[in-house]
Amino acid sequence: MTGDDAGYGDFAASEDENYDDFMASDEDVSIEMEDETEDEAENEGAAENETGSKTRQGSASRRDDSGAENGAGKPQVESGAAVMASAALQEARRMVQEQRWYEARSALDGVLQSSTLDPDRAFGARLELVRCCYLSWVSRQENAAGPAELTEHSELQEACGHLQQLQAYVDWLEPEVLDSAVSRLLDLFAPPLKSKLLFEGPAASGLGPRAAVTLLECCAPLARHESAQDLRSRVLQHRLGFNDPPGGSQRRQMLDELATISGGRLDSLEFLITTHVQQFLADPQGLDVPQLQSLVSHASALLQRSLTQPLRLLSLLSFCEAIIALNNYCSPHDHAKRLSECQTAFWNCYKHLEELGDHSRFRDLTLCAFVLSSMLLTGQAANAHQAITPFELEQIKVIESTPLVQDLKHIYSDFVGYNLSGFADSLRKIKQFHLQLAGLVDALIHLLQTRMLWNRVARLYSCISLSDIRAQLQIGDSPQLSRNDLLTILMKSIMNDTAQVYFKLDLTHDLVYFGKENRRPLCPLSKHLYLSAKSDAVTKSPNTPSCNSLKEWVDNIGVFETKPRRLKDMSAVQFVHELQQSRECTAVADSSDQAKPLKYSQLLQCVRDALS
Amino acid sequence: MDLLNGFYGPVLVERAAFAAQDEFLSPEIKSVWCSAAFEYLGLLQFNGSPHIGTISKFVEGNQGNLIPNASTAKVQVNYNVCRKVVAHEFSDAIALQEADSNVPFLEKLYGIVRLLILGEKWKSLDEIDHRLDAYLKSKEGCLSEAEKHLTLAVRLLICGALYLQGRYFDCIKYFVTAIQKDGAIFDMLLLSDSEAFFTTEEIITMITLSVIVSVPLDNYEEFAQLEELKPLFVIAPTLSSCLSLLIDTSYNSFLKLWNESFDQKCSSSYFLCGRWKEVQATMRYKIYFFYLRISNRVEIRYLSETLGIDFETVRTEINSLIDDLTLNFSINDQLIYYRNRYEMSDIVKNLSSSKTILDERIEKLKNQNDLVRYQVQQSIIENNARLREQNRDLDACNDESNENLQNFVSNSEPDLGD
Repeated sequence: MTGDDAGYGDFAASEDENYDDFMASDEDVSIEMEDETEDEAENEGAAENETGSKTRQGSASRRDDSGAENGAGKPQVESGAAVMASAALQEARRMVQEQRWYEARSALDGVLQSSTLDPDRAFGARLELVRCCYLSWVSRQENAAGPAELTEHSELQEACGHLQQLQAYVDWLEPEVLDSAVSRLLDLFAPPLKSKLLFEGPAASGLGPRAAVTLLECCAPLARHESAQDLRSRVLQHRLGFNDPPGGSQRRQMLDELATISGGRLDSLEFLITTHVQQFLADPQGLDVPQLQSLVSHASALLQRSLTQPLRLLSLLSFCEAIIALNNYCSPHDHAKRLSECQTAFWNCYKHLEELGDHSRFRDLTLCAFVLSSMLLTGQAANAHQAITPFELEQIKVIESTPLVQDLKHIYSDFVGYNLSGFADSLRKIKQFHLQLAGLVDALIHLLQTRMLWNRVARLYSCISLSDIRAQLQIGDSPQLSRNDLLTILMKSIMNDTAQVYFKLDLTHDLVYFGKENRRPLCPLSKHLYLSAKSDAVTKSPNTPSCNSLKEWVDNIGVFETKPRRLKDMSAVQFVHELQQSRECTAVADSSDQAKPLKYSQLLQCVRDALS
Repeated sequence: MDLLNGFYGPVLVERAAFAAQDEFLSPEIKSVWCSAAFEYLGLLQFNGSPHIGTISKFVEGNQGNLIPNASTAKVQVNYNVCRKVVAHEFSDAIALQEADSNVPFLEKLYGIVRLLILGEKWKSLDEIDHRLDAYLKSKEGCLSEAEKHLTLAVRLLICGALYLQGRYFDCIKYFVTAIQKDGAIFDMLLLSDSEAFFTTEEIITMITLSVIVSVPLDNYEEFAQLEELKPLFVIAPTLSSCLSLLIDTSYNSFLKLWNESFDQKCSSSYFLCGRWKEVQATMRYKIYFFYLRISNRVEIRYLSETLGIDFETVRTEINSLIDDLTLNFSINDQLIYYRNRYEMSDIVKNLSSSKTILDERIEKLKNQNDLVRYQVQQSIIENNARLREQNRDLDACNDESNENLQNFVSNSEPDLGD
C-alpha cells in the first residue's frame, strides 16, 4: 500500500507540474503585461514559481475529479511512464527557458513519441512545442534587423502546424484546461495591447500584427465561447493597433465589433479608449463623444469592481473625462461646472501620469490643459485674486524649471498683466497643443478680451467707437473680434449683470458711452403708477385689455424690472419663486430725481386741465 | 385615421370644425376630420352642435342629415354630458358631470377639467387644483397606478389651461410645482394618450412658449441650468436651442427658428392658435425693449435689419411700445433716441407756456375788467348825466309838482305831505 501511496503521490506531483504549464493564471498574465515583452520566457518562469502554490490548490481538487472518472486503478498502472514523461517535460521546459531551442524541441518530440502518453500530458508537450517554436522565432526576429516576413520562417509555420495538431486533443481535455491553455497562447502570441501604443509608441510590439493574427487564427479551432471572443478581441486589437487596414469603413466596422464584444474585458476597453484618445490627439474634431462616454463609464464601472488600479487606465479615464467636458464646454448649459470638471479631470490625469513616471508629450499636453483651464476658472471667478495659481501647486513647483512650465508661466503673466501682444507670443510657444486645446485657447483669448474691455478700455474712456475697441482688443495676429462679437460681449454682460462699468450704445454711430452717468430711467412711471393709470383707462373704456393681461404683458417684457436678479444654483421651485417675487414687487421706491419731475409734470397737467 | 391622433368625443367635433376652417388643409383631410366628427355626432344621435353646418359641408354622401346609428341604442349617462358639450351648453354639462355619482373622483375631475377648458370657464378651473390637492391629501399618497396617471393628466390639463388664458408665467410655475410633486410628469410628456385632449406635442409647445415668453431675458441662462428641468430640455429640444440662441443674444436666428418651428404648428392647432400671435408679439417687444435698455440712439432700419423683422412692423410696434409705456424715448423719423419725458427743463418750458396762457388769460380778464369798468363808468356817467337831466326835469317838474302838491296838499289831508 505504501508503494501505491507513493505512486499516487508521484502522480499527484507530476500532475501538478504538468498542470502548471496549462494554467495561465490571471496573475501570470497581468505581471507579464506590466513588463516589457523581452525576456518573456524568464518572466513566465518566475511567474510560475510565484503562482505555483496557488494553482496547486486548483489542481488538487481537479485530481479528485479525474480520479473518480478514470477509476481507482489507472494511476498506479501509468505511474511509471507518467513520472518519466513529466520529468522529460520539465526538463524540456527548462531548456526553453534557457533558450536552448533545438534541444528543447527534440526532447519534446521524444516525449510525444512515447506510446503510453495520456492525452493531458501529450497536449502539454505539444503546447510546449508551440511555445518553443514561437519563442525561438521571436528571439531570431529580435536579433535580425529587418522587418518580419512570415513565409521565410519555418519555426512559425511549425508552430502553426503544432497548433493544428492540438485540435486532436480538444475532445479529450477538460474544458477548463483547454480554456486556460488557449488564453495562455493568446497572451503569448498577442498580449492585450491596452494603452501600450499610446504610452510606448508603435514600437511596443515590434513583431507586427500579421504573425500574431496568423497564429491566432491557428488557435481559433481550440477556442470556444469566451475564449473565442477573447481571441477575436485580440485579433481586432492587433489589426487595429497596427493600422491594418489603415482606415475607412472597414476600420470603423472593426471598432464597432470590438466595442460590442468587449463587454467585461477591461483590456479591450482600455484599447478602445486609447484608440479614441489617439483619434483626439490627431483630430479633435473627429472625436465620437457619445461612444467615448459610454466606454469610459463602462470601464470605470468595471474598474471599481477590480482590485487593481492600473495607473495608465486611470490616467486615460481622467483624460477622457476632461476632453468630454471640454467638448460639452461650448454648450450653454453649466458652463462653469463643465470647466471645473475639465480642470479637475486634467489634474487627476496629470497626477496619475506623474506617478507612472511618464514624461511623454501626452503628459505635457495634460499639464498644459490643466494650467489653461485653471486660468479660465480663476479668471471667471469673482474672487480671482484669492485663487491659487496653478504654479503654486507642489507638483508643478518641482518641475518649475522645465521649458514647458516656463512657457506656461509666461502665458499666465501676460494674461494677468493684460499684455495682449505678449500673450499672443507666449501662446505661440505651446502651438503644438493648439489643435487639441483649441476650445480652451479660444475661451482664454475671449476671456482676456473681455477682461481687457472692462478693466482697461471701459475705465479709461467715457466714449469710444466700437471699431476702436476692436482694435484695442486685438491679440497678436489672431482673427479680429467682429463687431457682432463685441456687441455680443456687451449685450451678454448686461444680461449676466457682469458689465463692470455701466454703458450705453449709440447704434447710429457705433459708439459706446461708459460711465454711471449714463444710467437713466427708461420709464418715468413706476409699475404701480402705470398699472393704476391703465386700470383707470380700462374702467373708462371697456375695449382695452384687462388689467391682468396688461400686467402679464409688462412683466413678460420686463419693463419695470428694476434690477436683474441673479438666480444661480437654485432649485427650479426657488427659481420660479424668485421670479414671482420680482413680478409682484410693486413697492419699488421711485428714484427721487425721477419722481420730482414726474410729480411736477402731473401737477402741471392738472393746472393745464384746469385751465382748458 | 392616424391623422386624427386618437381624438374622440366633443373635442373631436371642435377640432374638426377648426380643421374645416383651416385654409391650408386639403379637402381630403378636412373630409377625414369631418366624417369622423359626423360619425361621432351620429353616435350621440344629436345635431345640436353649432358647428354642424361647417362639418356637414365636408362630409361626403349625406348632406347634413344625421342618420341615427342603429347599434347605439344603449345610451349612457356620458352621452348626455357629451350632447351638452357639443351644443356648447357647458354649465349644464358640468352640472351633469358633477352629479354623476358612478364615476370615481379623479376620473370625474379629469372630465370636468376638460369641460371647463372647452367652455373657457377659467375661474372654476383655479379651484380644481385645490380640489385635487385636497383629495390627494385625504388619500395620503395611497394611489393606484391609474390614479397617479390621472392626477398627472389633470395637472397637465391645468398647465395647458393656464397657457390658454395667457397666464404664461403661472403656466411654468404650475409645471415646476408639478415636477416637484411628481417627477413622473416628464414620462407623461413622452406618452401619446389614446384618447387625447391636448396632444403631448401641444402641451410641450405650450410649456416651451410659456418659458420663452415669461422668463426674463436676463435669466434664461440660469433657467437653462436648472437641474430638475434637464428632462424637459431633452423632451423639448426646440426649447433648448431657442434658449441657446437667446442666451447668445442671437435674436435674429432665434426669431427665425421660433417662427419656423412654431408658426405652422400653432396656426394649425385648435388650442395653440389663439395665443400664438400674442406670444410672438410679446417676444418682439421683449427684444425691442432690450435694445432700448442698452442704447441711447438706434435707428428703426437698424433694428429691422438686425432682427430680421419687417420695417413697418418695427416702426408701428416701437411706436406703440414707447407710447403705451410712456417710455423716456422719442422717435424722429428713423431715429429712436432717449429723451426724458419729464425733464426739469421741459417743466420749465411747460411752466412758461402755462405762464403765457395764464398771462393771456389775465390780460383777457384785465381787458374784460377794463371793459366792464369802462362800461360801468360809462353807465355811471350816463346815469349821472341822465340823473342830472332828470333832476333838472325833476326840478322843473318839482317846481310844478310842488305847486301841484301844494295844491294837492291844500286840497287833501295835511298828514300825507310829510
